Amino acid sequence: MVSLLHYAVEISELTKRYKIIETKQGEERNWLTKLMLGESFAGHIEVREKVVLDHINLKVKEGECIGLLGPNGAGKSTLLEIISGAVLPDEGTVNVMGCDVVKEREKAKKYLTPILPVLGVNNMWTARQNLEYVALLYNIPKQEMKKRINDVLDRVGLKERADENVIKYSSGMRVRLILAMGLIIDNPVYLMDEPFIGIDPGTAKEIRKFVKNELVEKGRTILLATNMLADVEELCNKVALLNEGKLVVVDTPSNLKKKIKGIETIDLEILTEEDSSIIKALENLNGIKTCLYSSGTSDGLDVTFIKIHTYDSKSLLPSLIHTIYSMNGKIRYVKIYEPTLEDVFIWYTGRRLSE
Amino acid sequence: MMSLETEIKKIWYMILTNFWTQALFVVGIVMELIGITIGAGSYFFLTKVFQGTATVMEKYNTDVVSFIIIGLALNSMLSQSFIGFYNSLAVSYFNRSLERILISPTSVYTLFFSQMVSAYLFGLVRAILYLVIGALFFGLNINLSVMSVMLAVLVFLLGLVATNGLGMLLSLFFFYTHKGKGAANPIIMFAHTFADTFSGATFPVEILAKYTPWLYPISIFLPQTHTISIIRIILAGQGLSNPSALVSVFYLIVFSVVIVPIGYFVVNSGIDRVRKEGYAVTGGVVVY
Repeated sequence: MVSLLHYAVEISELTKRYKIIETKQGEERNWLTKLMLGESFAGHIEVREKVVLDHINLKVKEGECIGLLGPNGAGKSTLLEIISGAVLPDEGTVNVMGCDVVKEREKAKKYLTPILPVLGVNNMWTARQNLEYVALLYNIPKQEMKKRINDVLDRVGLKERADENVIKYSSGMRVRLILAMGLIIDNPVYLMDEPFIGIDPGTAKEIRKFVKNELVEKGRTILLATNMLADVEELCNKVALLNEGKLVVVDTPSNLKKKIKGIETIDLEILTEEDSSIIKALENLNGIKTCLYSSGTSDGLDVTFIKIHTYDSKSLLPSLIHTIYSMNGKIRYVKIYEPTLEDVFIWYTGRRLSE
Repeated sequence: MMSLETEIKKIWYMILTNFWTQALFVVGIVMELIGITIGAGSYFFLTKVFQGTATVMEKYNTDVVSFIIIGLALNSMLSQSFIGFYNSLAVSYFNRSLERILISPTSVYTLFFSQMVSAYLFGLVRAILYLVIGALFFGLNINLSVMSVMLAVLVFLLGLVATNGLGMLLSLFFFYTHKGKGAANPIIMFAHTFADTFSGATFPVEILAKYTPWLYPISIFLPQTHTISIIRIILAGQGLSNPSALVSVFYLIVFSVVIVPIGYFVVNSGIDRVRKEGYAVTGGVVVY
């Protein structure tokens, strides 16, 4: 009997709310409150509810690599935590290979390979010991364990230094080890939460290539939470844009770019401190669809970064330059290009990924 | 399919982690050793100055120095049983080993068990140091017949189980207060100090009935008080012939049977609460 086709991951109306306690400065509290809340605290607390995931619906087919793309706080990690079974949802359901992660938690775990760098590695152990620990946690039989560990160490290129304490490892090697800790489990659905964070671009590229060859092309189902465009562009065949707990859109990267076809992006750096009058003037120009700005430094200089979306950059550019110069702003850099996935994100949400 | 060997190996790895973490604090270990010696010495000289025969000491049939050193040694372990579960939760929550276990097929109780074993090992080292230093320098006098030692060990294990049940109840303050997941919890600190002081480690609790009668019922509610009291009597060579020792054994059995299942229920529902509320977040905002 052929089993009915089911999705590797099926998320339906998933909602998660957190109560958040914020300390606010203000009225002095009595000694008991201070004792309970901390000596230095002389304010009051406010409890508010935050919707971290808001009625998320998502279906991931077996063998798909889907990028969960969104800025910090979009809900990506919480989504992965719920799928992994570490966090309980408030509403909705999540099925992994047909198993409900709440009702059939133990069964669902057998299909999952979590790669969550936030859980870290044990620095005082060797890579081999870290891998053995994970293998034990996942009840990998003794006979198979040694073989798998050697195989995985070889694949991630840590075989030569497998018996060194992890504390001596570079950040790139640690990321390889974290990947190895997933590869040793190798259940069909991989949950990866920002696996390439904190490493230099060269190493990140190399490790992405490894993930592509070893996981994506070998048909593993992957949910990859990231705010790095390169991760999605190189690895994912689908992208789910998340913003403030809402799933904005899901599609292939090329289809998403097509959705804003005709749009061009202009990036500008102007030598001035953030000046709302210039921004206001730019926003009022004809032909501007969206205009985002932020302050920062470039080559040690204080600059304002401006990102503009327009349907006709050639017509807009002269008036843009004229407006900036007429208000004593100096242009340091201009670039016009076809929209990227970040532009798609801005188009849908009005926010940058790096916010 | 998990095997016993796999489970033992998991626990071994978890204990090793705790050991290496503790070993990082070499100065702390040295200070602890000095503290134990100074502590035992202080009690020794204090009792030499104020040596007397209070009627409350009669039931124990031992000298004051041995009374105190046995109390301190036992309390080193019982204290871990009392507070160890809370500490284990707090540490595994913050270093996210709790989360790692929750997403794996390994039971969360394997983690707690290993953390408790680590805590007991440290407590045991402290207890042995008290006994060795006491025997070498301060004339510790205990009955080390095979029967006494075996009986003392059995009662001690029963005492550890009962105290651990109470310790599991303390985890309420971890699960149900937002402060519990933050820095040191003042309620836990108070409970720890209170139990250390009033479980009779350094003085016979019967004295409380005379001077602070309101404290006495709280003291005899604690399983630590009964455990320390019975073992003192056993190690003074009286076995369980003393009726008050038999009453205490009965109390420990009833306490374990009632409190341990309640503690287990509290921990299980607390873990679900943690899963509902999420994990430690950074940046001045506490999710509870």
